[in-house]
Amino acid sequence: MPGKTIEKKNIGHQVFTVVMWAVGILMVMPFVMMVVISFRTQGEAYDPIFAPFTPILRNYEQVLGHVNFLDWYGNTFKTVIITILIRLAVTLPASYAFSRIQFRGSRLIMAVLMATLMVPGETTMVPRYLYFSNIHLLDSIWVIILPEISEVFYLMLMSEFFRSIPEDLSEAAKIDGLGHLKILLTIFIPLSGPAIATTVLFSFINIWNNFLDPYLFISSIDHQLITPALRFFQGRGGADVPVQLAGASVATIPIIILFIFTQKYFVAGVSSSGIKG
Amino acid sequence: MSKTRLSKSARRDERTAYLLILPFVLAFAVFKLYPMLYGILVSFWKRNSLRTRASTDFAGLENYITAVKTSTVWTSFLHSIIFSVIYVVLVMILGFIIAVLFNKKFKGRTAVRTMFYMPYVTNMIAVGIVFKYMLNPTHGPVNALWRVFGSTGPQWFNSPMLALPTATVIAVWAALAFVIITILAALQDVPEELFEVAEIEGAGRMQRIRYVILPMIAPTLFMLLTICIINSFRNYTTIVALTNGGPGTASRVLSLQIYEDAFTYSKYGVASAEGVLFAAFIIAVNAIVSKVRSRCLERL
Repeated sequence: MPGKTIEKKNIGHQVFTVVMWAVGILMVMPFVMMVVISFRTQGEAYDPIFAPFTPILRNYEQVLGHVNFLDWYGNTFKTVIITILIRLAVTLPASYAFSRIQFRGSRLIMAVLMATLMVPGETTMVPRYLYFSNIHLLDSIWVIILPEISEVFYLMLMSEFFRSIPEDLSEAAKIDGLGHLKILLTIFIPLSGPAIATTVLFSFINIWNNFLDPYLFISSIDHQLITPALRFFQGRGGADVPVQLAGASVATIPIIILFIFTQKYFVAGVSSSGIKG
Repeated sequence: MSKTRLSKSARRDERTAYLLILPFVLAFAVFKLYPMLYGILVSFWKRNSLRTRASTDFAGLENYITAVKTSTVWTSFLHSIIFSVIYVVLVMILGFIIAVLFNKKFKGRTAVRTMFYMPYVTNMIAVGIVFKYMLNPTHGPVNALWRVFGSTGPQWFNSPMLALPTATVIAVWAALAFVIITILAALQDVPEELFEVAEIEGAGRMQRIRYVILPMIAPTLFMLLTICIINSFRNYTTIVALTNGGPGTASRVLSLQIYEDAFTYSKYGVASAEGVLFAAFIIAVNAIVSKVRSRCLERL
């Protein structure tokens, strides 16, 4: 009799495995369709997904051949890299101070920082637009970079990581006469590889996928970033469906590949933001 | 060590701390906090045409009165609420169920997890292009299921009834990973022995969820609830990518209304007032959630 229940359990487990795989494949079906259809002609776009066809590169030629395509990719990379560098330079010292030094006002400042997390960018798009226009920031990548450098999310992520570094380490360094800046540079930063990796990865994904801000603040087509630029392939007078899907693939695949290889840091970042945030 | 020396070094520490946070706090104040406060100012100024774009004439409550008297503001607010409720309910329940299932070992679990996480790192504009293709009512692959039975099937984004819920479900598909990952991390902190004790005491699967899992991860769930509520109002991109507020105004949410009032009709003052009210509403909802949270967590 016990043998039978084990067998029953096994069958149950196999069904469970199959169902999980099926739902997983359903989740990624849109990506499969995106890639497959992007290699078809317009006439074949709505043929069944598994129907045989001869793959063509014409759609990608049209996307990559757009006069401004290199601008969009270049602007996006420039924005991502500059943001990450300044963000780290600004966030690492602040996180150290918030997690390791007691100072008056630290709780109040932290509370103000956290409170702003509750205000979605959607509710402040008008004043941001007017203000950035007043200070002549519109239509350049700096209108994206400057507001991005002080994101509270990364401050929390880094502070949380710094708190996990044993107190003894910094105490020993202090006894040796090291100042805070030295401790940060020689002990904390070399230890924070994983947290820095998470920051880099998240910054990359978020800035790459950001639509609202560049759409609002950047008006020249050659100053635009890749995600809002996808709109130029859509709408009235836009390209046909396979070309649009080729554009979507070009804007999506690099991020997905990056994500697959760095999933560990990604998961660590999401879960620490959710639990401790 | 004498008392004065201690306080001296503490004071030096304090000065160092201020210097270390200065760049962050300065950038934050200039590029994040000030624009928010500026929105409150603009909402009290007479800036409701291109000509008065830079005006600082005091308007009193005029902009707020105009905002609450505009009927499309209320319908778009209602659409935002519908979006938010469907989004939060679905993302929390599905995320919880899937996380519990992922907590069990099975063949290829890591690969399947990656499949569930992929939508989260994809930009909404690309998602919009793909789903508009898939949900094309006349030729699309999804409605092919209905065509087999000789029916045309749902009109999705062309249907005033379905456009908003369809867009919401796609937003859930894209956001699910966040909830799954967070709950999974919390589940991994639940001590294994608790499950064993529950099993020995003869608790069924449902009872185990109700009496072991839920109380253990309740703080995480409330944290997630807060974040998901805020995120549910960050839907401008989703709606623009999928329906652009249509058909007609059937899926127009408040953020689209604000955008249009400001950037189509140049009513910056009114649009700012709408933004302030919208932000105040979101903060109020979160205040209620945090009240409920402290009451619920006390009881556990």
